[in-house]
This record gives sequence, structure tokens and C-alpha cells, in this order.
Amino acid sequence: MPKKIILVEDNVDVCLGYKMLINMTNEYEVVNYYHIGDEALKNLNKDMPDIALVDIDLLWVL
Amino acid sequence: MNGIELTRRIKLAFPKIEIIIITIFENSERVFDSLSAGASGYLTKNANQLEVIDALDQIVKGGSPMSPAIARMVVGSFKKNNTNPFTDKELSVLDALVQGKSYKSIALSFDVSIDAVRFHIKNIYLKLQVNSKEDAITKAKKNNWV
Repeated sequence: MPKKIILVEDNVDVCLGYKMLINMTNEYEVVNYYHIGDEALKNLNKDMPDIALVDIDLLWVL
Repeated sequence: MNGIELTRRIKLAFPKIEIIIITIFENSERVFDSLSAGASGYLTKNANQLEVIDALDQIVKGGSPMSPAIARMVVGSFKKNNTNPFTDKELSVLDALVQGKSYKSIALSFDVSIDAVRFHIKNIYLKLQVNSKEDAITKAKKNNWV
């Protein structure tokens, strides 16, 4: 079973780049990606990732 | 929320989820803050595939992908400076001040009079060459004395 990963990154290009890189391996799989932190937080229960890759400079969304 | 706040909230809700921070600038205070918030390591945005997979492998093995410069900052934050000018009692009072305790509660917890606490604080101010509690705390923290 590959380790489940979510990406939280507001730069679409970086996000898709990481997704492609990671999904080329057998060990890891990107199960979801988000551009907004709140969305990622809401779906943690559903995604149940082993690892979250989080952009430090995510935009604040109220 | 930004990545540091998100890291804090994810770790609060699901402590077992490992978090890797993605950053443009490698050696910054903010990377250190994200590690303090619960991230296990970080990657730079221009990392190549090998570096990305290597970071994931390190996390799975229980490691923390980070540069030596950031690792030094982390170690420094745990290492208290033992070359301080204070007596043991003064150091305890200084610690209590940092925790936000009042003179009265410091006096109670050390079983001494408020005047004795004032005496120690006066000596602490003299040694630090400061005139306020805030300045004393700032200076003590800066020197890793507390």
C-alpha cells in the first residue's frame, strides 16, 4: 500500500509538479490536493493522509 | 490560514500525520517556526524529484529532512546558556517572571516575602542593566538564560 499524501499549495504549477513527481513512484500516492488550508483541514477525516505537504506561504482566507 | 497555522491545526487534530513544509526560502525564522508548530521537515519549491522522494523516505523512516543551518537553529533553541550571571534563586525568579507570574505568586511559590522577591528582581535588573520586567524577559530570552 503506497503512503497517502495530500498537498496544500496555492501555486497551481508547484502543486501539479509535486503531484506528478510523487505519483511516479510506487511508494507514495497523492490522494488529494488543495489550494486553501481550510479545505484541506475539512477533508482530513476523509483523506486520512500519512503525510501532508504544506506550503508555508499559503494565503490567509477568512 | 498560512502554512504554519495549518500545521498547528493538523497536528492538533491528527498528531500522527507527518507534515513537510514547502518553502521558497530555506534558512528562515519561519521555517523554524513551522518546525516548532509540528512540521517534521521541509522541502524547497525548486527541489528535484530525487530530493522530494528522499524527503518523503526520510519522514517514513522517522527522520527530519532539513538543512544543517536549520538543524543548528533547532538545537540552539533547546540548549540553554549556562554561562549566566545569576544566582540559583535569581534564575528561578527570572523563570517565574517569564512564565508571567506576579510578585505575589512568586513569593508564595518560593515561600518568601514579597520584599525578598523585589530584592532578587532588583539584582536581576542590575545584572541585566534593564529597568523593566519586559526588558529583563527579552534580554534573558535572547541570551537563552531561561
